[in-house]
Amino acid sequence: MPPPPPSMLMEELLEEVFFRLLPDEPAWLVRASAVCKPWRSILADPVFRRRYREFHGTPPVLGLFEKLSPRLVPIPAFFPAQTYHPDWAAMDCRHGRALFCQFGETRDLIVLDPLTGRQCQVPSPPHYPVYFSAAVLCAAQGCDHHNCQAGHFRVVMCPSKLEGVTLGWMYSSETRLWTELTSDIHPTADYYSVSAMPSILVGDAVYFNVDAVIECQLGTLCFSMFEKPTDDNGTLMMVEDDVLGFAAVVDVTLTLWSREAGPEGAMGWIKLRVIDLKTLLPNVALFIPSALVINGYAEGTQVIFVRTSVGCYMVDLKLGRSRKVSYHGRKSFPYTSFYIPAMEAASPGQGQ
Amino acid sequence: MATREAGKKMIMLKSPDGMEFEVEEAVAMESQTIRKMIEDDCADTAILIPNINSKILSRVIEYCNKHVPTTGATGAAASDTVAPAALAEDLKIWDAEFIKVNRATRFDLIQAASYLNIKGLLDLTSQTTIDTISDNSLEEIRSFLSTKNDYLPEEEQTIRRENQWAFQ
Repeated sequence: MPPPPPSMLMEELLEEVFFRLLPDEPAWLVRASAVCKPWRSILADPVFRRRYREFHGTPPVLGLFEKLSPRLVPIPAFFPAQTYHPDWAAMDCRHGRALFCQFGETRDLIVLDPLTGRQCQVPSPPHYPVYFSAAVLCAAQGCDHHNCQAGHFRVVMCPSKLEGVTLGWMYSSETRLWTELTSDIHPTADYYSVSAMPSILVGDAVYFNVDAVIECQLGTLCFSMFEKPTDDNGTLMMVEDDVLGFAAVVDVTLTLWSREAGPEGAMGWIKLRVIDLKTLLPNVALFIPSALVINGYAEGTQVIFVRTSVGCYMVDLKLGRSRKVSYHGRKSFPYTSFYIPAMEAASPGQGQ
Repeated sequence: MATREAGKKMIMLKSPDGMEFEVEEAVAMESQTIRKMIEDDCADTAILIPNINSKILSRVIEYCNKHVPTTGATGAAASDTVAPAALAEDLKIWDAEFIKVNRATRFDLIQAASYLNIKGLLDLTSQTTIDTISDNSLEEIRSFLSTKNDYLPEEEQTIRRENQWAFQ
């Protein structure tokens, strides 16, 4: 097995080093690109950029859209200034996109790529519920969602309470049409929630965390409903690949459940883990236990956001560590994406 | 293939400058490149490691020896008595000492880790360069890594201006 020629190897070595620049701080990639032209050529190369995303696998949490607020609160120390849209309210984030509801006459929805500023207007559905939750997701089959923000998307809308026969709608950016969803929810059943409750995509279903859990199967376009494992405040999350979970805080204890098939085959909640938050949060954050609320979950990760009496902490359950990310503690939609700022490869011949 | 001691398979690694190193197979298999050669049955005799001189190869073997999972007769005893967290801490301290080398050696180790495909060693050897990029000004990065600035002043200004947020 002969080694590659030295010049190739040199570039490969730099690539190996650059792969290890953490995606949590996109500024390092930009700074490296300004060191010299050969470095910039590597960082601008689409193959390097694809392999960089593959190397890290899970996109980092770049910020939070606080509920009903229109501006990204960045988590990296360095981040481009974000445009403020005073008449927009955040509804959801997924697959590098953020979804907003526009106040005013049209009440259209907007899908935004916060990293490029690119936006798509989504007309409101024929029967527009007054209060609703909504989810945005990539429409491509088999996509790794590392860099699909410019592609087609879908929006699932779930009214905040049962209103007549309308249970939900799904929009496709390909057909530019809304489709009404069917339901097996019993006509006498009811649920209620405020607007913009968080959702989660697990497998081929979107789940909304209202006062029950609303499941929307994307294949069959069917809505159904089931109970949460506890009445305590909590969040839907993914406990492992394609397994729906739920996390709730009581006092200073975090409990995780997973939704699994029981011995009879029926789906139910199984208590998975109990975590003492004293092992994850500093003492100052635990001073008023009743203030502890989970106010966000970064989909595809084990990262939750916990509101405390002294601000909001990002808690990584996998790594067992936390850091304070905001002084507020509003319900939040964490925004995850790879951000490799656009750069043109400098020609090595130039400027010499 | 050479064997030594009870049940421990040994293999021979040869550097291009003619040095031979007899190592346990498990240690050599920390390198995914060597692992593949062994699994594909390409390693009946000594394995020549091209482009990695004996000085660097001996350091790489030293790293693999330390990082090979502690199983087997001696290893089991070690992991029975020492908690995993303490072992990890011990490895971290050892790694920090191991990487106290000059820049040329570090670059040689990156090259060796890349060719031999030893992820842990590549992570460790790349980290100093990563820290240099994250903690320093452009001038310092160029100076620490001996990288020539081939931008015209106005070209560098354009990059800084277009990405002001990254240089604050």
